[in-house]
Amino acid sequence: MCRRWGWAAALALLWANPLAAQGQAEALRRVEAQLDSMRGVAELRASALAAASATDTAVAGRLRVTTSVPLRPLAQAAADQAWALLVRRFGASVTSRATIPVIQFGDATSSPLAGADTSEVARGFERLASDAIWRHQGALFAEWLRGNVPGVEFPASDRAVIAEELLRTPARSNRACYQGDAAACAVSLGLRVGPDTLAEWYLPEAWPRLATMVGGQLSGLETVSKQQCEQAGDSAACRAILTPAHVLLPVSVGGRRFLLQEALDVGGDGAFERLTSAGDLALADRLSNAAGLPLDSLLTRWSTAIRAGAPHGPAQPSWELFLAAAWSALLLLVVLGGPRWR
Amino acid sequence: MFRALLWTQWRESRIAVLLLAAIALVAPVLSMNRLGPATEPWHAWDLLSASMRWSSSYPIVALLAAIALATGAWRPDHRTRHVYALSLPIRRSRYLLLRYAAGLTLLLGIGAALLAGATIAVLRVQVPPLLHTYPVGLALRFCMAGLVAYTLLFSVSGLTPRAARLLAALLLLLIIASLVADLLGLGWNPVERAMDALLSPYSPLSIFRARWMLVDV
Repeated sequence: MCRRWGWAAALALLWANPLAAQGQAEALRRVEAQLDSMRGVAELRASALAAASATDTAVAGRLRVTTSVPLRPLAQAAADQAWALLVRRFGASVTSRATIPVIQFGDATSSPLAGADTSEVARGFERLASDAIWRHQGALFAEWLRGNVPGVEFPASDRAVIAEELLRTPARSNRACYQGDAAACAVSLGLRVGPDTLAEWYLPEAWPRLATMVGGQLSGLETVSKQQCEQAGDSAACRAILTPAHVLLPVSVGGRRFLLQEALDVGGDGAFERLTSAGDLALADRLSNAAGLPLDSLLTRWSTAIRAGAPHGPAQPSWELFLAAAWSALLLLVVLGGPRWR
Repeated sequence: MFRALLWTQWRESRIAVLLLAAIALVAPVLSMNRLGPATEPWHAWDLLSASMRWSSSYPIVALLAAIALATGAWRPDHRTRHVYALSLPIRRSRYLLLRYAAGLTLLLGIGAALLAGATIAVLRVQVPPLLHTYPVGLALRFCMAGLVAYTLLFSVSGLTPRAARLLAALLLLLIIASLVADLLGLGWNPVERAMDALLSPYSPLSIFRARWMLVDV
């Protein structure tokens, strides 16, 4: 399948004749759009195949799950749960219009699994459906999230990772952002960055090492630029390789996903609709509209949540240490109360 | 009497204790050794990366210390078939408590070595603002993790042969049940469940699952 996509991408690149005249980013965006549409066709095909190979269907709202007869009760319960979660997350009006591919759960011969967790299955359905909903929201979000659609809710434990990133990555704005400076957070999160993104994010002294982190497939020119930047610190070469698409983000996509989630959580009913409403609104405005707050307030809230989730050292939480002491005392009591020597 | 038992324990496990104490002393110092100047933009990155890279070594040392001390605590008694212990005019529980305390003392010694090493390590580096050093917290978690593992292994090592056989049979049964469950495609694995339970947030070993970071946010 990957090979087919590779050929398709190559053909699309050849077909896009005026590539040389346009910016690389524009061309890539066009190829991505074509790939997205092809992926959509493949999804529909997979859905049709899924529907044909199973013998029963569980339906909840616009969620359709094809499954075997023995698995149907589990699939139905999970689909109901998943649909409730989707409605809560995206709002009734979005979910009622959503195009969700048919989900296949087991095949025609599958039998129920002992100890299967309905909530776990429901979370799987929810993830697949929300992936589909997010994928239809256009390039703005896909680009900002670098293709990582927020399929599942952002786990609270991952805030520690973002806190660490803010203090670890040598981006100019990160420390101020960690301390609650909303303007700095907007820069770190790529919401308010000027045309010279690289200089706004990182000091020139950090560029050579940033270049060492650039991975993936590079063209010959890019490889040369990378080497010149790493070895000689040539700023023109650094600028050539450390494009917004290649450079290490000051805050990774996880942080961006968490901001999106915060905006939706704060915004409550209709937040997703406001976020994805039609029109030529910038991402910052969309987030602000979704949350029903000025962007700076939303970013301050985000930063506070990150600080609250930051780790507090190996001795925390203290209850873990007390628990260890309690277990030790209990085990010791059992040994001391033992009946005999051997 | 405690001194005599401490001496026995020391004699049985001194090589392991000395080696582990040396590792506990040196590991934090080594972890902060190859760091560039604090003015360098990547200083915080390097500091946290080094701290993260070495973080897995501390629970391993704690576990090894617990294994060495728990086996060392019972070895003389197992070797002499408990004759010395039975000849003493004290209750069994008191004797066991003294044996346990002797091992614990040596474990605390290794913990103290870690505290010393961690303190030296953090004194040698310049920590950027907003990052914190946790030598005491790290040593505390080390001691508590060592304590719970030591107590668990001390209990297992002190089992009567019959209880040990029962435990072994139970483990074997668990493995067989898991094989059968796999063959029947039940989608439920007892060994997996047992491991999940052992590492769940409220289990005795949950203390091993954490960020053992000497320098952290």
